[in-house]
Amino acid sequence: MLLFRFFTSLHLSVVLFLLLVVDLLFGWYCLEGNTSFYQMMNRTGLVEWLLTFGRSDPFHTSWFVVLLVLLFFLAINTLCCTGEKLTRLAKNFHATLQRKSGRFTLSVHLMHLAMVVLLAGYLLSYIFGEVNSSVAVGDSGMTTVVPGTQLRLRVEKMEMIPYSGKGIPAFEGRRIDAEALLHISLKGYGEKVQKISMNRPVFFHGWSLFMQTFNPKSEGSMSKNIYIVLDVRRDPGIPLTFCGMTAFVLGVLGYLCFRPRKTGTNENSIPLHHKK
Amino acid sequence: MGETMAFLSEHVSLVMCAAFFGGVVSFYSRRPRLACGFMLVGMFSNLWLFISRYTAALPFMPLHIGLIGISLLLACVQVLFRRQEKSLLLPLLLLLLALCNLLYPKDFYLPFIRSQSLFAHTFLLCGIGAKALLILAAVSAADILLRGEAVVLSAASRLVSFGYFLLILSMFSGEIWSYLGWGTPVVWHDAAITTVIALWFYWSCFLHLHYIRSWSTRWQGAFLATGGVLTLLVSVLPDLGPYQGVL
Amino acid sequence: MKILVLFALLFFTAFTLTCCDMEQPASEGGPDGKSVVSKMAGKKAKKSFLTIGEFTVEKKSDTLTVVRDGAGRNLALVPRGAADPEGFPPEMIIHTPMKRVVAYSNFDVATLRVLGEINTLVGTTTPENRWYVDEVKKRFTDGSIVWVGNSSGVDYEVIKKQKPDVVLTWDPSIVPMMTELGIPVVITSTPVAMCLNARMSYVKFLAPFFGREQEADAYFQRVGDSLKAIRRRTRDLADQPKVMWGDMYEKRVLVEPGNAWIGELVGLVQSDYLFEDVYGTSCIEISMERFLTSGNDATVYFTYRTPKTGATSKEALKRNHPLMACITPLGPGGSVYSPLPWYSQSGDKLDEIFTEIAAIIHPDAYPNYTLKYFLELPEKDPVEGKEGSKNGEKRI
Repeated sequence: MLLFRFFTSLHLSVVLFLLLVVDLLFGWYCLEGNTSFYQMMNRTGLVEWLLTFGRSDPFHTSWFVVLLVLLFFLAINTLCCTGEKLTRLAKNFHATLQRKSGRFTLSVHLMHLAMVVLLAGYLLSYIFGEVNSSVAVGDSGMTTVVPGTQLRLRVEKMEMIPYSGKGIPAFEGRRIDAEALLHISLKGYGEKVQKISMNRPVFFHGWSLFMQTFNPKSEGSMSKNIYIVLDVRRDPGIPLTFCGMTAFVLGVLGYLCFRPRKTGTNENSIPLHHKK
Repeated sequence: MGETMAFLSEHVSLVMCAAFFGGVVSFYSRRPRLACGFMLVGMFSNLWLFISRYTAALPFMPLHIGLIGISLLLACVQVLFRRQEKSLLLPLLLLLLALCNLLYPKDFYLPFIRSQSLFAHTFLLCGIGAKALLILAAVSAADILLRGEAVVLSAASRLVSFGYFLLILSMFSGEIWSYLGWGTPVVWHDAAITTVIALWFYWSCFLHLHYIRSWSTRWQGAFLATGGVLTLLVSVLPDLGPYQGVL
Repeated sequence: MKILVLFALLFFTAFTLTCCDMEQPASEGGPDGKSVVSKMAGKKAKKSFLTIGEFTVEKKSDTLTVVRDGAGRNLALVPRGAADPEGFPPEMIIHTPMKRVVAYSNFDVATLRVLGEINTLVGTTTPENRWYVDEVKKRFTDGSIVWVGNSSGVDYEVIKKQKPDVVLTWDPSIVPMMTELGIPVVITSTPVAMCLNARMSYVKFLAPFFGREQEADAYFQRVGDSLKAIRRRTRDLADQPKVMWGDMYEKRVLVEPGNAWIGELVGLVQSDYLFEDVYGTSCIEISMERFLTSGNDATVYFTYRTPKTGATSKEALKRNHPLMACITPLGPGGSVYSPLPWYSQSGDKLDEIFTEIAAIIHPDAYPNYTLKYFLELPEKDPVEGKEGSKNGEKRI
């Protein structure tokens, strides 16, 4: 009971928030010049990263581990707080919905729950996500098999998008995107042909394919080979993450719409030493 | 074209800085009309800088434009809503931002091709709006604290709420962009993401503090002002290029 | 609150113990005294993990080492005769020690020399007449090494004939074809420029492919010692020159970013690298304005161009790109240096290259130093015939 009271404390939230800010600012300092160290987390996943990179450089990893712990406590704190309040509200749920202040409270708790869902989504992604980095697919009609999977990829057609602006002289004559018609097949799951480009991934039976880069970047490029490089991922946390994001935005909107307005004359200026 | 723009950019930055300096001096010497004129010149110079840099980078997201964007929004608020204010804080802040811009007047990095996404632009613009509103809230709170008044900081809190909403929009559109471009919604190697999340937690903390009874106006003001400094720091420092080491 | 503090303490204790408990020796001090890389485990430990910039080497057991190449692909290194590990397709398994290698990059070839494995080289993308390394030229003559075509379009038939155990390349587009031929590919370039430590310890990445870890350690030690010597000689100098490294082309400006080994080295020898705030890949593109602004502050300028590609004098550089004329080093008395053609093939002499760069930046600290890898550009083009020998047929 004592532990539950501790975890429902608003003071705990405040302390955790402030610790998170300090920790993230320290992380900002650690990131300086060490970007590639953290970049590897997106390729290896959290557990492997902690056991390899993390262990090899505890100083630069410490802020991230502390961040995980603080976020864990924040999630527990949020769940306990929201759980307790929502249990109370559930008894008079319809009445709560009728009142503006009730809708405001529900919005706040929606935000809280959304944040926990969001964190759970990230955690799932980083623990159970699978990544196949830098899978090159040429436009020669040759099929590429993604290592360790049955996924077979082939570029059927590729169109380069040139830079058409005038504002950046360095970009004149350059290609800024490539649209490739990608043929994907997976044993037992059929096949699919879909366009892929820099910010337009392709999804296929739980796999998602992201274009990392393409070649050549300009007509006079030294490397003439035509190809795209893909990151092939399987990420079970994404649906949760996007649900969390949507719910959070709805929660904030509700917070802004149903916010109780302060009225009366207490907003007039009163010297601080006169205030009781 | 590029060289002409760079030349103009440097000179307009100088005009902006001089105008904000004139504004501060006029405010100090109690000449509100003259101050307003100076601020207007500063605001339009700022607007020109922002639009010219933004359009030059299109369809990509321009880099290092946050400082100019925040300064533009603050200048608009000063000219449109705070003309009668006697406080020198916002004009001084505008002068500081203009000086920082003068130190590092050009967008030296070329934009990267993955930034040609609507979500990238939303991330940038909402981020600029959010940071400007949060800084503005801090300025209002600091004003009140300096005057020694105990106004319930509802106006500042409202600014924080809207700033917080924009911050959320910026953060989430950044995550969508990151997912579509890199395949993961959060990349921990990008300092911009780390600092935005730090801001998010700080201002979440502020919103939670409202529910603590011992949360006095004085503390509220101090917390807001500190938040303003933090927001300013994480917004300005990355845009200083080679001069960030000096600071 | 007490519970929170207790949790925090417990957590930190657990984390510290986990980190100290692992079978990994203490981090190795980098050249600047910073702990930058974890050293590979000694003979006692069966498992170890080593990061070299974006490359990693993880020894899982006596018969399996997993390496991550520059593109983030995991490859299994298995001793010849041992069973192939599960979970790796055949094209990702490399049997060690390797006997036949095709290499694209000159730096990879230089690394083979460091490891004493130049005899394994059977193909390159640099033709015979552009080599300055005696051993390579000799092996070209006796037919052990062949030119496999330009890096932008290699001849797969030639590569197939050479039957390499592996192809070391920067070009990921050859992977599908090589997979078809059953030849493993290792990408040896990285998206982010190699830092000083990664440049020095890259040899440790290739070492397990040949079982040459000791040679790699010895070389790393040698280069590390040279850096310490450079630091000792330059640290108390009052003069702090400003250095820039890059070039302007028709529409593009490419420079070495601050995170590259060059930027770090310049900082280490008591000087300012003017692109320190620029982060990214090697030869990163920046705006022309930035290049010119930094050029106004610079005292020493290193160009990418060799004398053969137009860097024969300051006047020639100005002629090639008139906008560049305004940068200070190109003015009278300014210092501009161009790499000599064999510089890019001398990656096995990093200690000498580092010392030469230090000597260029601080000539007072290195009196009577004779340049071997760089050429100080004269004001005007030399009279024809006179300087031919200077840029000519040096053998290394």
